[in-house]
Amino acid sequence: MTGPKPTTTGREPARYEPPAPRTVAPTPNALLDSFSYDDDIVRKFLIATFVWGLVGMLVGLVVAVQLASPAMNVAPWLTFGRLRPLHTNAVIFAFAGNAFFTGAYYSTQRLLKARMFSDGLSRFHFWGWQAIIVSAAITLPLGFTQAKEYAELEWPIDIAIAVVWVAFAVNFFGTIARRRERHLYVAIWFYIASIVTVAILHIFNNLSIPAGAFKSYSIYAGVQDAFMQWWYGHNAVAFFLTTPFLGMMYYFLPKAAERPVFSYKLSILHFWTIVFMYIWAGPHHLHYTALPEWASTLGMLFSVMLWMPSWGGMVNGLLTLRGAWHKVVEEPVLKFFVVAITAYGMATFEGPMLSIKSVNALAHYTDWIIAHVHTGALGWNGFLTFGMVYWLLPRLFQAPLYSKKLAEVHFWIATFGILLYVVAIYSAGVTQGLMWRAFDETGRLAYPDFVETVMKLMPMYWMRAAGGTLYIVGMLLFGYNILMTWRGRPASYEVPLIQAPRLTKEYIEGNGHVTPAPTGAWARFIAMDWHRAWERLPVTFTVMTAVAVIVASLFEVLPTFLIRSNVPTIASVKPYTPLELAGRDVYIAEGCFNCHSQMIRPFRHETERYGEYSKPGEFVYDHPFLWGSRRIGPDLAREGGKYPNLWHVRHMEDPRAITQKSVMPAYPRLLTDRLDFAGIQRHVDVMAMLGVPYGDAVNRAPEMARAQADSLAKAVEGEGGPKGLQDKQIIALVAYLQRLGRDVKAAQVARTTP
Amino acid sequence: MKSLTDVVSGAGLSVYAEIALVIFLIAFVGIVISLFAPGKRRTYEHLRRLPIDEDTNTEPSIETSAIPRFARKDTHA
Repeated sequence: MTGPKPTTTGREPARYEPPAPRTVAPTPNALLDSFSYDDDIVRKFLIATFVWGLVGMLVGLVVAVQLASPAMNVAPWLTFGRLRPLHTNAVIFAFAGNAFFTGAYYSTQRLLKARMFSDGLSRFHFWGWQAIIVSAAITLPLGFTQAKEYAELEWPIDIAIAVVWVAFAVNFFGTIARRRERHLYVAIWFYIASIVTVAILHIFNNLSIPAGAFKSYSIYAGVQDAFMQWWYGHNAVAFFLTTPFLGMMYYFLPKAAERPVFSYKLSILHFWTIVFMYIWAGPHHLHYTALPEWASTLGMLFSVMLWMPSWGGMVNGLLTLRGAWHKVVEEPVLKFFVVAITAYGMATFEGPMLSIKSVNALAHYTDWIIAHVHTGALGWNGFLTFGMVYWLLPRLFQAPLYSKKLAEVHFWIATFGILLYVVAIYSAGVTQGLMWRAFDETGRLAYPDFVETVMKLMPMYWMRAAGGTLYIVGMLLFGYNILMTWRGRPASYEVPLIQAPRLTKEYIEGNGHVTPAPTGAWARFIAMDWHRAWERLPVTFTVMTAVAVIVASLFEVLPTFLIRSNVPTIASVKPYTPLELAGRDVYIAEGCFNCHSQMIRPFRHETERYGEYSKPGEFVYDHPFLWGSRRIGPDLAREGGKYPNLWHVRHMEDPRAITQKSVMPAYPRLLTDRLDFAGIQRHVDVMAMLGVPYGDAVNRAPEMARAQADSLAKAVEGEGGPKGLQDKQIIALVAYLQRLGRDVKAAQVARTTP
Repeated sequence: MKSLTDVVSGAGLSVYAEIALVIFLIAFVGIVISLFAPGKRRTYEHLRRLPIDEDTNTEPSIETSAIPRFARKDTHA
């Protein structure tokens, strides 16, 4: 410490002053502990946040440009279908994940007045998480994927995630158990809910049977798999991108504004309402699909209700700045927070709106959804992270922020980038949605050619790429500021010694005397004794939260799993042949589901364009389901038999040879790469284990596949195609594509002929 | 596996979804009632100031509790 300091005036100090060690007058019967906070781990996570953020956003820019210019799909492992999951995983789990850990490790120690439970676990968490990110960055481009959005990573990595997450949980709850502050601030509650719920979501959605080192099949099929996936997918947004960041908002916003949160009661109400409601909202991702009607209505209802607590939280955040708006003018940290909270408000208004079925009918499968998530990700998660990091930099690196002006520039460039991005993509979404449903005066589709609706979006796609580029330029300024602040750090960091009394067994109220316990059950309940008791027992509190989440989820999910009538079976629907299954695995590995849905909704404009709408019973053998969520290309649910075999071969080899304006990547590799026939047996065996009636194929899958491949290759040859495709991957893929939707067509023919 | 599905399917479990919903609603209403019940002001005020007071005190002291709800530490504005 360097002598006495001038008292702070609320304005930014001219240079950074490390906080003096504080001591507290010991209360009677209390033992005074001396300890320090582990800020080294916070610095580590902060750097990782920036590095992965930059990587994730750069991959985002690449996939954005690939949509506008298919020539950018330069190598098999760099095609859109493989990079898009890498982009989403990197920004969600690497960028936002590390940001959450940065904020949580910093604020938890201070709010609980305790060092993290174990330095070793903290490091294990850090290095484990980074190793998982690296393995994701390697396996996703190689085509190892479970084909479930935001849960693409294959089973060995899933296990690693579970292990690291448990280490984080033990470390976190251990810290709570050793805390020196009786009450748990609302931020801690948000962290608890996030940690518990993410663990449950991750485990249940990733239940699968391995069929190789990096290959597995989901134990759920079709409708059930879709239900499980979007219960996960929506709650990943809720409990990975929303609740952790709300916890951070409730801590760092008051810190930066130097004002307590506007209403603490409102923050508790915000917490409970969000936790109770989010878990039911998932099915709104599956409106008008083969999901049972009651489930999607339930999802819509809870999503609309969610608007209220979300805006309660937004208002609570903004009103915290009451009387501090002059600070917003001069403080980039607060500017970032204000835009972050506003983006939270916009995204949580739009979410409920999109969950209304009639709005969803237009928006689903279009870029509108992409715009919605980017309002949330770029605005809410990104800007909250930027604000938090700018606030943390001088405190963690014990040097003044290198340039406040550069932070201002970052703010304006990034804000403009977001605007450019979302305006372009909103209009792209609405444009395409309207074109899909447009009929001309003769009652036919106004744009029967799908590619027309894609061409229309090209200017918007370039504008989106420009907006994204601006955001990344801001990110580079951010990185430069971090680097230069880090370079100004002292030779060795000062570690302030904190002193605080240990918690005593008996609860003493603030006024110093023990309050008499209220008598009567109702009085005790009203006095929230039970709640304080929970807070004092973090393990009990955690168990209760977990039970609440599990029970709610089970009661939402169970009926579809167990009640037969919800998924009526169709007699004509048969399992895929071994060759078709192998083709389906090619389809999954290439990430075709990122651009092509396999789910025709019961609208006239969809049945006109694609054929009979999809039924739940069609998907009973689909492990995993491949309904998709975005149509960059047309739906493929009834693709089988639409075109000759040779058409598919030529189209995969060079899409633009067939459709001049197509933006699909070319896959000439599939015409030369060999198919692993021997490996099909294991895949069929796992499918059989999951209850798919494969009959004879469990013994002789490779022979059956070869026989089908030979006859299909002959057929291609007969159509004037190339020779020698019988052992190539393309044959399996064509077999699969030609099978899609055939079973139901066959049933209809059978019904109408007699 | 098949028989288990048949058993559970026959048990008519769908009604429990509604029961669970009601239980959740009751729990939620309980939380809200107790949240707004009188007598919690001091605790909430302590919690509210926790992030910004974290360097100075642990248990609520008479001093902080005595500050009227909307009074601010930094009155320079």
